[in-house]
Amino acid sequence: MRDDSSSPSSDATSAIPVRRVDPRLLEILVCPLTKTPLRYDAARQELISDKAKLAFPIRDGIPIMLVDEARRLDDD
Amino acid sequence: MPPPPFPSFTGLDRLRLRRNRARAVARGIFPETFDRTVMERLAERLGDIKRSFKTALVLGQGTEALVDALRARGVAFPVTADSVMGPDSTNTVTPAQAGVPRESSTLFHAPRDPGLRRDDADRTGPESPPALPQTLVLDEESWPFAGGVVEAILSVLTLHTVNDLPGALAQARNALTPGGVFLGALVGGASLQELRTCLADAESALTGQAPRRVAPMVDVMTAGALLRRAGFELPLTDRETLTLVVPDLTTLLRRLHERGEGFAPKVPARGAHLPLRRDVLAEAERLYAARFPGPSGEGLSVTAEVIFLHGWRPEQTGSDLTRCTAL
Repeated sequence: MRDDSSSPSSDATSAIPVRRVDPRLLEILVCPLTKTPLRYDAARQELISDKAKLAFPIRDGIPIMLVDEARRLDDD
Repeated sequence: MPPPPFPSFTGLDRLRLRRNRARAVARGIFPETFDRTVMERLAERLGDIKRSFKTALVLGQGTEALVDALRARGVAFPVTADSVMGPDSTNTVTPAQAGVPRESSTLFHAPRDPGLRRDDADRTGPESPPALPQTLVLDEESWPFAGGVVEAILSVLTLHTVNDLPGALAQARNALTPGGVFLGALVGGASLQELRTCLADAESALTGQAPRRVAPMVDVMTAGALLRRAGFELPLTDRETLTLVVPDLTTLLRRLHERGEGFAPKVPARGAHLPLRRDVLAEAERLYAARFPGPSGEGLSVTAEVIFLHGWRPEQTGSDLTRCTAL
């Protein structure tokens, strides 16, 4: 897992460093609803629960593991 | 004519609580002196535990002091979590920008090495932990952790906001590695007892009704039973009662709201929550001042009860009492 995006809200000279999500954190996270593994979409900065059909956003390196903040994935 | 019925309490509106907490966090009020005191107690309890940990999860807001205490005892990978984003995580609102001065650090909060803060994004190797802890936002009623992944969980004044405390504790236990420890501080049921009784007495005297105005909170006996029920081994609970002093009732209510701790009951489909009448508030204030004055006669006394929970996830191969020699 790699995170190559940078947060648009941070600037390089800021005293607060750009936060990226640590792979070690991603390894211990599961879907809060189904407790099944998540897929990391580095480009969209989302953690996807295929079982719950939800995409949990990662904002500024912080996974938001709240069901009501997640993007609902359309059924195919 | 009998008074109209008011909706009974059916639990907390957790979405509303989360929004209130987000506002409080954005204003940069965490940690308050109360939070610092509780974290100091948790750090003391942590010091009593002989076992070492590499991974730890800290639940709460403004928990840097506790993260530092964990790092000092060798935790290489601390993770912080709360139900809302922290104030510094969005880079939008800092406490200074919000016009709220941060209190200076207290007893055990070691100043962070500024050099460590610089390039934490590039430090991902196991030998160089990031200076800022990894953080996430979670719902304490539906934990996003796989089973057996973290060696210690510390919870700082967050679990009084759940409706399903047994479920939250069971999920905490599940996230722990076998032999892992849970150390939690939660707001106990004796908290705000003065406010609870004075509001109820004033309201029933003036309106004939006494709807719930303070959320129910767990007592120490129940907390111990819940720990056991959640499958924790060697469950220990104890309580500490802190007495705070506020100048008046308005200040108390304002400070509770500023903390995001305003009463947020689920409102059933039928019947809105009864508004608190001004005359009721005035009568409650009169009763409060008469019954529970501050220690010097000035202001009002406010009880804050903190319940400390301590339990282990059992080892797979029976119990190992040696790790608890310090207790």
